[in-house]
This record gives sequence, C-alpha cells and structure tokens, in this order.
Amino acid sequence: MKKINKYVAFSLILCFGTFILFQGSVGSEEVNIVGSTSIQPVCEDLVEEYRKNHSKSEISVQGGGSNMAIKCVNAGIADIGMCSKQLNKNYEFTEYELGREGIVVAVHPSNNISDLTTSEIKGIFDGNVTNWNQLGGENKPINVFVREEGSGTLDAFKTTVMNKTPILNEAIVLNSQGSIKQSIEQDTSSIGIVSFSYLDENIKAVSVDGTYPSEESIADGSYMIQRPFLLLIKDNSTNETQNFINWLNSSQAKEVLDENRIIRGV
Amino acid sequence: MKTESLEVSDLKEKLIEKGLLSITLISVMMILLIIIFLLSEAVPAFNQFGMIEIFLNHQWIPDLNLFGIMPMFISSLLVSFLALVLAVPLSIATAIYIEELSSMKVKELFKPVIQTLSGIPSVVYGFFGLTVLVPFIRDYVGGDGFSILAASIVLAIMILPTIITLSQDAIRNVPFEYKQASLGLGASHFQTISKIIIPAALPGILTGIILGFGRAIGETLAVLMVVGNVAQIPSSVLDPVRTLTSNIALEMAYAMDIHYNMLFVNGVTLFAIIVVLMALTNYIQHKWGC
Repeated sequence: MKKINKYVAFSLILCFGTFILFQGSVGSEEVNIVGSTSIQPVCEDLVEEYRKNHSKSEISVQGGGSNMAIKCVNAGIADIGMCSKQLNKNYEFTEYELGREGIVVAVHPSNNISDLTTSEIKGIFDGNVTNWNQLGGENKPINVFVREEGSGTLDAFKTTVMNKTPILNEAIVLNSQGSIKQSIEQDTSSIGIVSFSYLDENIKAVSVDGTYPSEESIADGSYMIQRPFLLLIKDNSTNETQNFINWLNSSQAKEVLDENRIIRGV
Repeated sequence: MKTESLEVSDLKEKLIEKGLLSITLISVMMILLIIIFLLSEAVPAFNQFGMIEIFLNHQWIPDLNLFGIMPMFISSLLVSFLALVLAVPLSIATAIYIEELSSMKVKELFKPVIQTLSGIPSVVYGFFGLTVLVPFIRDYVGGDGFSILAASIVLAIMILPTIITLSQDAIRNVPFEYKQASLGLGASHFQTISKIIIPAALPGILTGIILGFGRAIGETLAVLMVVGNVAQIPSSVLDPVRTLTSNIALEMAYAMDIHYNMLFVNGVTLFAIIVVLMALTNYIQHKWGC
C-alpha cells in the first residue's frame, strides 16, 4: 500500500511538473534575439532598460555571430537577429539600423605617428610596410593585431580599407576586442583595429586620410571605417517583437545607445 | 512462500542489472554519436580536397579556399611537447619530494595547493599569460611575445597537477618491501629513490605524462589567448602559431560551407590524437600494470 502511494505521488509530481513547463511556454511570448557578439552587450543593455517598463515580457539575448543571426532568422528560430555587417543579398526580413560603429586603427600612445592614409594602412595590413620608419616613425618592426577571420570588425575593415587584399599572414590573431586593446597597450610598436567604444587614453587612434574618428565624423560618414549594427526582423513577427522594435525609437533607448557609444546615422 | 520471495528478489536483481546496463549504454552511445557527427560533418571536406591536400598543404587561408591543417597539426604537437619538457621534471621532482622526503605537515600543506592549481579556470591562466608572460617574453626574450614559448609555459603550469598527482600515486604504490630491501642492502636513500622507486613507479608516471599531454593538446582558451594564432609552420619557439583547438574556437562562429566542414576535419584530427594517446596509456597499463 505504501509503495502504491509513493508511485501515485511520484506520477502526480511528474504530471504537475510537465504542466508547469508547458504552461510556461504557452503563457508568455518569448522574444529570442540571436547574433553578433559585438551587438550583444548593447542589446542586453537595451533589453534591461526595456524590461523596467515592460516587466512581463520575456526577451533573451544570445551571441553566436552575424552569420548565425541570418541563419536563425531565416529558419525562424530567432525573432530578431543581430547582424554587424552590411547584407549583400536580399533576404526575407526587415532590417532596422540600430546605429553605426566606428572601427579605430589604434597604436601605442608613445608612437609618434598620428595620421595615416588609407593606402598606408592597407600597406601595413597586407604586409608591404613592415617597419615604422617607412612611415616616418622610429626604426621598429610593426606588430599587427587583428580579429579572427570572419569577425564583423575585421570584415568591415577589409571591405572599407583592404579592398579584397588578404591580411598579412604574420598578423597576430586574437579573439576579442579586449585582448587586442590589451596587446596594443603593452606593445610600443603595435598597430591594431578595435571598436570605437574601446578607444580610451591607453591607446591612440590614428586619423585616416586626415579624419580623426569621432562621434560626428562617424555619424556623417566622413570617417569611412565603420559598420552598421543591424537588427534583422522576421516579416511576420509577433506583437512582442514589434513592441520592442517600436520602443527602440524612444528617448530611453537612445540614452542606452549613447552610453554604449553607438552612433546613430544621419 | 520462500521460493516466491526468492523469485521476486531475482527479478529485482535482474531489473537493477539491466537498468545499470542501459545507463552505461547511454554514455557509450553518446561517444558513438559524437564520432558519427564529427565524421559526417568532416566527410564533405575529405571528399572535396582529399587527405593529401588537407594534411600536406601548409597554408590555411579560408578566403582563398586553402585549407591545409599541417601548420596547426605541427604547432599543436610542438606546443604540447614543449609544455611536457617544462612540466615533467618539475612534476616528478615535486612528487618525489612530497612522497619520499617531506614531513607529514609539509605534505598536508602542498596537497591543497596542487589541487587549487587544477581547479583554476583556464581563462585565468590565459589572462595571466596575456598580461604577464607575453610582455615579459617580448621585453626579455624577443619576438612578439605571442609565441609557442608563452603557450607552453601556460600549459606546463596547467598540466602540473595532473602529472604530479598521478606520479604521487605511482610512487606511493611501490611496495614498501622494495624500499626496505634496498635500504637493508645498504643503499642510500637517494640510491633507493633513483634505482628502485622511480623504475618501479615508471608505468604510473608515464600514464601521468601521457594524460598531461592529452590535456595540453586539448586545452583551448588559455592557449588561444597567448599563442598569437598565426597559421604558419614555426621556425623557432618565439614564433606565434595556431593550434588545432584554437583554430576551431576562433573560426567556428563565422565559418560557412566547406570552411565549416574543414573545422570538423580539425576536430577529427584532434580526436585521433586523443585516441592514440588513450591506446598508449592502455598499452602501458596492460604491459606493466600499475
């Protein structure tokens, strides 16, 4: 008798658990945001701010890369994709430009070079220029730091500056903006590319063709090394998704974007 | 009455046995599934390029459709081997000291220290390497700092606990009679250690070394942060290289089509290396027992 009671109790708990699980997934409309790891922190901040006023909405933000965003939105797995490069094909979804991000060519603060032309930068990154003295600097070999093949930052840099020339083989490849910045700080003969939002007094940004990267020059497009931060939205998206997208135009959202140094285009 | 209860308990035994069997089968199935998945994703790449092209081409430039994994293969083995060269003498010396020479108190002190070493997350080792080791090598040894040497030092620290613990076990398991007999014949303590204890514990120590090698070759994040990730065949230990694991970790998120399949070939290669290492440990244990 006791045993039977145990079994009954156990199956009741099981049923109850399953019920709660299904209840949870049916009861609320969850919005899945998937994609570029560069947009991810900004998006997380946005969602956090959004949830202050919309405490009932369930929004999850995950990384995975820009290609993942395209795949997931196409397959209907994600509601919103975060894509940090210009799309070159036509897909069946709406693009919403969250803002733009500048990409800074940075050197060690002690480096006396502060202005480079596009072709000089191209020369450094394709391996034709290997010593700072070729550009009027000290006699030191140039150490180049880049992100890995296919990352949004490198992709944007390649399309705007490199013009399909491959990056030199000897470039040190690191997998995050943080480690690139760290390496530039530590190495007096370094050059590397980092997001505008990572720029501070520990590294020195160089002007490109005479234009210094700033919020204004990125917004009006005169600083050319930049990339869009796009949200990809399924065409027949849910109300929850639409509400979130509409909210992005509010002043609250703009504040969050400003804090993250995301520049809204003009 | 009695026979019935026997039958019931028999049935129970059977049930428990089958239950345990099925649980064991689950883990076996998982390994099988992983192998099948790895191979099925790698096959398109093998078909398109062929073994020779993949393993003998020395260039890895995804943009130009050049996928030779030889640089990564060589670098992985080199980095791990150098890590062993650094770690093995340290570990064996430490194990001998702790097991044979130190007092109980010192032993109690060292045990948690070594355990902590194995518990530190690999990203912490990587960060240590990036902020301390890399600048140090750049300033005092030469090169960029990002190098085989930096990765090997980080890995050596990471595999220390594995080799130390297994060597300790092996030394502890040498029968006390051996030591007694050796000392009884008039051998000094040092002679006993070098002539009796080390040879007797050798299979266990070797197992530790091979497991350490396996850990070193499989480590990803810490290596990724300090090795420089340049896909080239190195000419000195100060050259930056890219290992098999860091190649997968770096490019997986963005790889598409054949590039994606090639990364699975990377994975299959790693898997093969680990299988060989496991077979080697089994052989050693089978041959000499420990």
